[in-house]
Amino acid sequence: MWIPLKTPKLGVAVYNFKGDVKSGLPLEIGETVQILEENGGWFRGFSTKNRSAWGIFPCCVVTIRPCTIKGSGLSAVAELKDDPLVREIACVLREWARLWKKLYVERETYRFSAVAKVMRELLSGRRALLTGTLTQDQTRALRLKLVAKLDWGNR
Amino acid sequence: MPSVTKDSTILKIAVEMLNAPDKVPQLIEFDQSQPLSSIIQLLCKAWGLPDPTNYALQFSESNNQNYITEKNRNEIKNGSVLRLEQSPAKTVQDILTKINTGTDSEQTQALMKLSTVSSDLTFALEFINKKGLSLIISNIETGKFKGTALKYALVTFVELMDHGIISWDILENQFINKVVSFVSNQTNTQDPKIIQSCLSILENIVLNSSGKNSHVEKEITIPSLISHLENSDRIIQQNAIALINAIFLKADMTKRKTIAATLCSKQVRNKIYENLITNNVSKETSVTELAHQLYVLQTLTLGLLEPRMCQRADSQEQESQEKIKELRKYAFENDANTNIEVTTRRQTGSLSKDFKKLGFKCEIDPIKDFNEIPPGVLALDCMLYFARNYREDYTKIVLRNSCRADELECPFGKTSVELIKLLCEILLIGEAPSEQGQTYHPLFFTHDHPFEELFCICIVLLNKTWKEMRATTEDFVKVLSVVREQITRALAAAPKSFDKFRQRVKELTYNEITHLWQQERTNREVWESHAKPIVELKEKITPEIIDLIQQQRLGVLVGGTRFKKYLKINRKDKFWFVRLSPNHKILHYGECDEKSTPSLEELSTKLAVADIKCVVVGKECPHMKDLKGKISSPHLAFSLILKAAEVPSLDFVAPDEQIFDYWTDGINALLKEKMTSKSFDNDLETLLSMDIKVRLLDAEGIDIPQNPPQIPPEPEDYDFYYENN
Repeated sequence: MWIPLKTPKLGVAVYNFKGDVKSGLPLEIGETVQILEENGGWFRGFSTKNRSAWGIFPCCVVTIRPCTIKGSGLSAVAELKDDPLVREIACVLREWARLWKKLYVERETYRFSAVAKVMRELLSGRRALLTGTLTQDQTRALRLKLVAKLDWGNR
Repeated sequence: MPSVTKDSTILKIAVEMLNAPDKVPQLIEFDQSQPLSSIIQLLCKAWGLPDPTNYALQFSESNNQNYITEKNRNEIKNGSVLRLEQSPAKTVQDILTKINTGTDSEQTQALMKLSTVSSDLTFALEFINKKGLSLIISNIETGKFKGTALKYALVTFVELMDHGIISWDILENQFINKVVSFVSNQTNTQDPKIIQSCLSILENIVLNSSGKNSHVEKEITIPSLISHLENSDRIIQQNAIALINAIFLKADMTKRKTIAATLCSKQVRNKIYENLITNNVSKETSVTELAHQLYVLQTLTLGLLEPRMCQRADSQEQESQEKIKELRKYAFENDANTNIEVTTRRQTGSLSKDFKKLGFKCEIDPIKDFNEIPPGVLALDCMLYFARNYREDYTKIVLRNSCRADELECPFGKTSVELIKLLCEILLIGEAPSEQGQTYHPLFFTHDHPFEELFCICIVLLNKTWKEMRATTEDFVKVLSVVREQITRALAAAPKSFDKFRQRVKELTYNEITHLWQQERTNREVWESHAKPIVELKEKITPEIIDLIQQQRLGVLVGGTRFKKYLKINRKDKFWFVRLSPNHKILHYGECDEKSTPSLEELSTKLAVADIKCVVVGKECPHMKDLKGKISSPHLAFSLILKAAEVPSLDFVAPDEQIFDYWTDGINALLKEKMTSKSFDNDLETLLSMDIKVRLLDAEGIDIPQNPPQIPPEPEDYDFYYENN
């Protein structure tokens, strides 16, 4: 029986799922899904990159991540409960990745490599924030540095 | 299909008979559906042996010479060589006769054979059924067996009991006493096998009998076992430790403490350390078993700390109060001061100020700091040990932290309690030894108070790491996680002494640890980039990326490039310019000067892409044959070969590798061929890896499964709770 979750959950795909079952939702590793209901080893929900396509997928291909819920009922939106800066960097990196590819095609060689360098710095800084092995002082310093990088890119 | 059934039930095998030169080995078809007795009958007939019931078949592999029975006959493989031997019943009968009535040498011979065949379950059952075991026991008990006969009898006994068919409860005290006497007998030179077997028998009695263990404990003394640790025979050492462990394990708490006290005494410790650890050359196969026994011993010894670890300090309790007082005394009372000062200070109400300096959580009543279990009062014991034995380090730590800015201080009391808890976790204190465990810490055999000593090193380490991290109070958990890494990594190197350990943790600075973590993350990333789901994802997005590279390359061609002209006769440099039309159909080209960038219209000559057959590079280019030796970089040459054979090719020499790569890729893309240049590989890698990283942002820190997850069976129904919008 399909049982609705009291509040939606967020999961991240840790494996690819072809979606080759009835009502299956194909998933790529790294994709984030909002989960609405469950039945045995299966979840039903949608990918956060296309909220209108619903489908089912095995529980074992996703890892549940802590999230915060905005709104209620079916219109509720779950967001990863990461540190705001960590989320901001993810958001910015996705946007930049798009622009960065455009720079490549347009042969803006200098900007292309400059942006790549900053993106790599943001990636590793974000990872350091997430692993939580830094002291408060180091975290504060890193935050300032990352915010400066973000500002650089958004200019 | 009869042939299949035939194949599966009929095996082609050879049967030989040992010590019977006149019996030529037989090659037979062994029918698995026939009873063994009829097969043996046929074999006996062919060799002219009367009484087939006296014979049985045996395997003849080096690790398996068991009798073949109806149960294990399926282990026979095609091409096996089997042996026809005396049947178990006949062998048992012969052996028993020789033991009972044979001469001394016959008896020894029989026992020698017995000791080897007893490991075969079929034989053992037969022998035990014929009261063989009882005979062996009583002959050992009464001292009938001597010397070599005794050795084989004991080995036989161990082998027979090893099958687990007979309970260890059958043994009488008289037998135990006899076995103990062989172990305690240090005077004459006994065969090591005798001692090995006896130690193993006693260990089994202690572990497996339901009441005889106390008798063994009473008869045998730990010191007499310790002396066996000095024996040069590895198995004796190992079995002696195993017996000590068994007694230790079965003893009650008081007895355990006595045993531990004996074992921890410097003299015994040194014996263990020198004989078992220093000389433990890892070439030998028995090392793993010895390591296991040392692990058990260490686990049991450390286990003695458990009661302290699980005991809460009680505010009424005098002992703990005294200990806290003593801690305070060591910290604040320097030798010149008298007790009077302490008293006056107490009166002025600075007591809680002192406790604050000592870094207790509860300044009013520090005893509350030891209320949490684990580590309970064990923490207090260790702190006091530190204060007493390393007074200088202790006061340094306390004073340094009490005069630091508040948020930078590393409170001694609070951090000590947490550190002890961490050490208990790392050393698994309170957990029963596992069957497989082999990890022991050699340095623990080098000190009377190894746990306390470890704490003393680690609390200094913690303070050092705290400083290196420039940590504040809120970073405590992080500091502890670094300290945990330092300790576990240093212990993993199995240092042989506390000094070596101290040295090792000193080298493992905070920087070193973060470096190692970084390294491991990188390794993990490398692993992940080859993980199956990532590879699948890469394959999936590769076409998109290739499309991007193609667009970029065609962009280069449309933008055009100025090439240098190479002529047979050396003249002043001349240049030409080539450009692709924006619709990607025509190449326009013409001469130009060194600096100009002619527009499409200015380039008069045209070549339709459709007329190009292929691109060739390097030495294969037609112009390279003419210009041999004139061009310094022949690898930058490429030519467009045209479909019409009579028209000459269009020949280029690129100014650098990148332009060479871009143009050859671009032409290949126009011709719908694969791009193959080095730049293509680099660009693909750069774009792909960034794309993957960005796609995996939300999965940061989550482990990718090594094996694909098992997809469950499809759900039983599709009656979803929510309507799809």
